[in-house]
Amino acid sequence: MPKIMDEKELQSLLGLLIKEYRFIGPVRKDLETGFGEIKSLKELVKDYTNTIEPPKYLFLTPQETLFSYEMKKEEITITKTEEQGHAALGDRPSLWSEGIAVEPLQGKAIQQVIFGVRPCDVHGIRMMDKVFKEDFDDTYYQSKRNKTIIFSVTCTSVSDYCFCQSWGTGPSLKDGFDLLLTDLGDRYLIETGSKEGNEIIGKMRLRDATPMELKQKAAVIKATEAKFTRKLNIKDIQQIMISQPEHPTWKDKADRCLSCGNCTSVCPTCYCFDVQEKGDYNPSNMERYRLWDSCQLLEYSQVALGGNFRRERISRLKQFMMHKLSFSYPQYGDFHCVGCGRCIKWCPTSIDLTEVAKDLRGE
Amino acid sequence: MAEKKKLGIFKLTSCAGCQMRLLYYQHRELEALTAYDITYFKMGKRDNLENIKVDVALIEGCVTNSEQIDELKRIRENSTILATLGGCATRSSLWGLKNNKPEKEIEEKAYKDLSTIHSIKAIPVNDVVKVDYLLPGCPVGEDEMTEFLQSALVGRRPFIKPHSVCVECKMKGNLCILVAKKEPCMGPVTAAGCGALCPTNGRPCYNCRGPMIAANAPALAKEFKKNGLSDEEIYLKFTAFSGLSKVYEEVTDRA
Repeated sequence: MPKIMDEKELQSLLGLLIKEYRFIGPVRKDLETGFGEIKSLKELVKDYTNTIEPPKYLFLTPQETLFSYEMKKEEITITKTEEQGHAALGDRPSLWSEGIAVEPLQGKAIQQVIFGVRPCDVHGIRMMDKVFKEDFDDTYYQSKRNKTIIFSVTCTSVSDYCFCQSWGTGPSLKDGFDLLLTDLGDRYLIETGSKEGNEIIGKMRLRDATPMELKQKAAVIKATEAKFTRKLNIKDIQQIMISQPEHPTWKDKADRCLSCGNCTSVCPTCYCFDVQEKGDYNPSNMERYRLWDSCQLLEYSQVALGGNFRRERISRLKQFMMHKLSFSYPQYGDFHCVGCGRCIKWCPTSIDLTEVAKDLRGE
Repeated sequence: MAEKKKLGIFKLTSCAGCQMRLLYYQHRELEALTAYDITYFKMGKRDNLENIKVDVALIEGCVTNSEQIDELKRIRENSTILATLGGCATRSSLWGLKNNKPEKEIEEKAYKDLSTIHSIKAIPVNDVVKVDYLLPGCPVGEDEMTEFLQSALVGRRPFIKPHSVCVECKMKGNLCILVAKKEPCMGPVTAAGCGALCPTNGRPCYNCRGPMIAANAPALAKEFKKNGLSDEEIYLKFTAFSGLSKVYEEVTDRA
């Protein structure tokens, strides 16, 4: 049953979560808002539409050690990361250990709360869960994901880049969250979507929401929905995206494309990674790690002897857009786009996925 | 204990900053320098052995006179793995700035008496001899240098990142200053490996590592122009550390 809380009760709930969990929430990052670890309530940003980065970095860490091993002549001894507690990366005094994103979880994966995840990103997490659970059980992803409580917030503002409404992945949310907060103006409506969420709210004495207040929530969502300016027509999108590979819009976009990989890095559903080996000055110590990869990079589709399936920039760009809006559906039963608009916003040359879809449709 | 691999660090025309990088090496210099038997390293030690076979040769600096070509060929013959150390050796870096002017004009600016000066165009090492690995950067990237030195110890191929600085910048969760602040950041066309050092500290990337593989220079130049940079400023941005690199040809070609 949805409950009602006032500002003071919300503050005390967040304060409690900060004390008991590793608390990730929206913080000020220069001109924008991004996710960061929060130690005090003052750091929390409230007036934001969405964060720079999607929350995927918490589960699919930009760079993480898979295991380390020792080579002694014929013999190889493998040390699993669970035993060494993900700490190997942080031990190294290198530039990498300074970034927030690559900070390893100390010890075993710890209980964490992500506050302020927008509905589109909750859908992104749901899709990523499928990728890292159904095809193969990825323990590195799952160990962190299983210990995470998702505290989502219904959107009340919309940016020029948002088009989640077109997918139905926002601005409101029906499931996929542990806790969901909706700002009703002078009060907050809080809903629970899991056992963990129920336990947290159960500790507080909150009154049930009245039918009037539930109507108020619907009105808030309706008001948000009216603000959308960007739209993507998803009717038959799976066929339309692949119907005209020679359409001039592809060349037009590819001429502007820098192949920098920003679009895939900020995409909440891009899951590609590369696996590499790392040594030590002691030649017998080795480590295997993985790091983010991107279909936009030339080396991504390179095979032995320098052969490359996507040598042309245009074919790499097509791969990104077609995978998001077409190939992912037969692959996973989901279109791997949630309409967060990050790939449009953070593209240095403003290449627009929705514009390409429109051009291909001939609108 | 097996015999250590021999390492020689040689210098051509450069500021010696990359060799300094090896000495001033965030708590790891002792590990790095004791893992190898260092036969030649003028910045680091007194007794240096010339003309002996080494397993790994690191070359700092580019060629700016003909004697250095002989020296470089000799080093190549004597080494199993040869890698460049820093931007000058990789693509003649700052020295490449003189390449679009007549040599005499440059000499006159620097010296009074030209009778003993025999300078030639700044030539990167891989235009003279075969180079196994290129480690760009001004100075050379620390993580990359570590990766190379560790891989050469066991004879493994090092992981040298061929993609853009943007990938590393995003991995760090930085705000994109090119998009958000319209700063002229060269990240999208610059080779990664530095850990996006400058953008992480709020400064635009200035291309010290030179072009990444398959960079789209005209598209970025167009974006800079839209953000209010003049043609001259754009030209300088693309030539400062990359000389007249083929990758940036479409922007830097003035003929």
